[in-house]
Amino acid sequence: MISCSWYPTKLLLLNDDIKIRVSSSCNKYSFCHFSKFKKENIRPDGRELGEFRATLLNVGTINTAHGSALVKLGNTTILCGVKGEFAAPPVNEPKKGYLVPNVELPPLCSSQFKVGPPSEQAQVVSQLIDDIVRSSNLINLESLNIAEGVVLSGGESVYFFCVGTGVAPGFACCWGATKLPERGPKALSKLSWVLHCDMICLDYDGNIVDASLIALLAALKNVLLPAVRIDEDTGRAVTSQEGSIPLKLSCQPVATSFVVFDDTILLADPTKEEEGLATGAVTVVVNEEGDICSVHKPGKEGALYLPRKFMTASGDVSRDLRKLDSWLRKHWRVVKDDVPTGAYDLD
Amino acid sequence: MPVDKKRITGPEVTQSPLYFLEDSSGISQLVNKDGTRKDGRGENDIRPIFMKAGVVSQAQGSAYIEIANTKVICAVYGPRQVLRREDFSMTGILKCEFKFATFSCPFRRKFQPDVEEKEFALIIEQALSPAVCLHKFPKSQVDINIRVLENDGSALAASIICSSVALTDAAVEMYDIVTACTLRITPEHMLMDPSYTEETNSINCESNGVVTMGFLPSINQTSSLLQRGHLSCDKVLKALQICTEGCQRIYPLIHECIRRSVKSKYRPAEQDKEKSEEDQNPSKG
Amino acid sequence: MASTQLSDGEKTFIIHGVLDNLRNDGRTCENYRQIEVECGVVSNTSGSSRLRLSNTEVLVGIKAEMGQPKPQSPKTGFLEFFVDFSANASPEFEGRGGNDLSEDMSTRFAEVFQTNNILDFESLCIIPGQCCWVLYIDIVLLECGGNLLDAMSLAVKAALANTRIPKVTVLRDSEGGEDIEVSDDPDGYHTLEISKVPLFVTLSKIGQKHVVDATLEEEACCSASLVVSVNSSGDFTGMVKKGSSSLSNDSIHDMLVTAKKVGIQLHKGLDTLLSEVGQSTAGRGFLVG
Repeated sequence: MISCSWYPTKLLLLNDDIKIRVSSSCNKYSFCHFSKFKKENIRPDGRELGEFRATLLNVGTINTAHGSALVKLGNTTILCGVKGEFAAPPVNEPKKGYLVPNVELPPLCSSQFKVGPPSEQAQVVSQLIDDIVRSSNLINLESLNIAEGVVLSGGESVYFFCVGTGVAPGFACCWGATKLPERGPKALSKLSWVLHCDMICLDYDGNIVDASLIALLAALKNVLLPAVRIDEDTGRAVTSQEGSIPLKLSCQPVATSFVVFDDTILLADPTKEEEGLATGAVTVVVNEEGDICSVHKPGKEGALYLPRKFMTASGDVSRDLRKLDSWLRKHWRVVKDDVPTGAYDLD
Repeated sequence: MPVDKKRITGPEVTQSPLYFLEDSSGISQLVNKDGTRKDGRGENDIRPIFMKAGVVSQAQGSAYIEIANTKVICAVYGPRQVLRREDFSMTGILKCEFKFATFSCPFRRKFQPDVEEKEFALIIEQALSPAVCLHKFPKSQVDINIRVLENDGSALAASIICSSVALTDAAVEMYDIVTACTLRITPEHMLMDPSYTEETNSINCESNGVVTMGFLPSINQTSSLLQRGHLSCDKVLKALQICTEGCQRIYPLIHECIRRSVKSKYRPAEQDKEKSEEDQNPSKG
Repeated sequence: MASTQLSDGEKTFIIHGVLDNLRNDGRTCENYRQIEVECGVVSNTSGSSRLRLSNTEVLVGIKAEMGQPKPQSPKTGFLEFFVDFSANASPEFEGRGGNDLSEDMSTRFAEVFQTNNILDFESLCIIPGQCCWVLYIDIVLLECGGNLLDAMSLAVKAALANTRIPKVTVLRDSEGGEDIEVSDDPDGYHTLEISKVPLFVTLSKIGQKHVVDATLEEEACCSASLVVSVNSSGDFTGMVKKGSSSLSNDSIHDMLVTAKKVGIQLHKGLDTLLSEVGQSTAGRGFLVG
């Protein structure tokens, strides 16, 4: 008996309720229309200049990943999956683990991307997310460390970790040493977690950075890593299904992207068309205390906008910042607390 | 392996925590004594399916399918001009790109497509070709992009179904819809629509195998066949029969999904009314 | 595959002939062409063979090297396949032209040879979890005359029969470390048990019937084909349908029955030949069917 459910219970909360109000006077996006819109303070999709799109969040849907989250920012859809693996810690910082974010913009999400290695845009976004993670100290990497190692006599450090399976008595694989390691209490393993945070864009409609960062935060809050202990006798790592540990995030940065038109108009949360027509862009990353973690300002257009606008007390700016503030608070309400599995509407 | 300079890379050598499980049990029984499987299904039961077309706003056609935990999304772009002039031909071309998301399988997959993904891409292309009216778009290609977001068994079958729904959503002319079904064969049982553990458990032992079949129900032809494992000829022939029946059972669901998506595209007001009626009487297929 | 250009008239001629169970070279639908096999042709490999299936020529070299076992099976060795299409075979294979096709074929081989009992993989293990024999099987296509997969699998089986794996002793020194010593003795080797190695049988659908061992011209008329991997007892270890056309279930039924019959005959023929030839390098031929 096959049953088919027409209510999307699991992954994609498909927001049929977004109604796009298109102005009857224009059926093509073009730059001159934007000045028309500015006069009436409305955008082609019906939003105000500083208004953000409806956001949906669906957490913990991918069972094979240690943590996952799906974010829909209007039509822009990003799915973040976090998988933890074991590795030796970095040589220069043996007490730390790794957090490796990557944003993938596959040909699935838009016709502008081709099959093959990551496009420039994907590389830029990945690097930006990586910088945000580092500069905001998103997670204490030392908490990802499992075991520290021991230097053998002779000054030669042997890094290895043992694989134990139920079938075979286990073996040690080692690299970086010329001799097979001893077995015994001296040879403990250096081991830490690597969190691969892979964000896939499933639908590209602008503002990838914001959506990726929300997805990353929500997925990390959803992560449950299996408990690991080092068996003293064999030096093997042993994981168990019970006793999963959630991650502790030390900071929760949220990004907001704007595009600039002509040094005068600032649009928040741009769609793909707006991004394509804009003359400049700026992304501001703020943490929960309101401190700015990072500002990304590529290109020269709009460069004068920021200091001028931020220095003057014009109504536009304070309105923008207030809008930004309330939007950020709404997001934090969800990502701050323990995020159980489920779907949320952030409006 | 050469360092991937275009992505943020972590350490070169990593191992999955699944190799370190404390109590990794060996071969376990797939079917309980009373004839039910681990998740309570019978041998011939297919898991609940959810399908929706038109999920990617940027694509000409798209579809999303969930078979219990297996989740696949597909987007179709085209018909558009062939990228390379050498590919000019008087019939259209289907180009399929298939990828498992890195977090979709219990063991993490790499970003670069491996041989299994390339083979699946070719199989899906050949499964869909007989159904598409290729002569209707000469010198053009249709790009089918598939991502498996979570793999809990029957990923290939789900991808074939998803891509044929996406092709219809993109209004590419077709002779028929392609359905697909997977069957896991053990020495004693034939399990339809296996989960990931059922598909991979002791698959390399004798008299065990997996058969995936792509089928065109209206013209009663098989467009794709993949068998792995070690099976006798009679078992394979019986498996084909059972797979065909499974494919035919899925066909009405696909039909219904396409019907709804077409309705919602062209008559949105009526669709809202219908939806509110359905909210009061949920239907089961 | 490298294909020839055929006119519609020629295609119709072939299709009608096949309907009457008569092909262009006089064979019936279930006959193979003349096969010639030579073993031990490349001296610096662990095993090699050269096979000629009428116009198709394949050279296989197997090198046994020591490597790390795969984490999921620490007590077994494994095989690595690589298919190379030489530009000699067809100008379209020049440079990277043959890459897609060769990857596809390497995958086919890798999949089909995955089953546990095809070879005694445990005998390839040296130190469980640390060291094992890895057999790198390199297949080079020298001439393309149709039916490539069948020819390659025949050559692979012959090369595996010819493979000599040196004997290895594991010495434990006083500190508990392990050293591996490879025997220098020319007779200190063991061979592989190849009775369960499968062979590919490609069945091409031409018109209403199907043929085995299609030539290039017949492949150009073929709408769809089934590549079946059969072992010596007639069991299937892998199957995939190729081609952009569909097949009815009855056709598939007939094709599989033929595959079993032909596969068993093919195995018998090759096994008799290999037992006659032994390790000598003289060429022998056999005709199946």
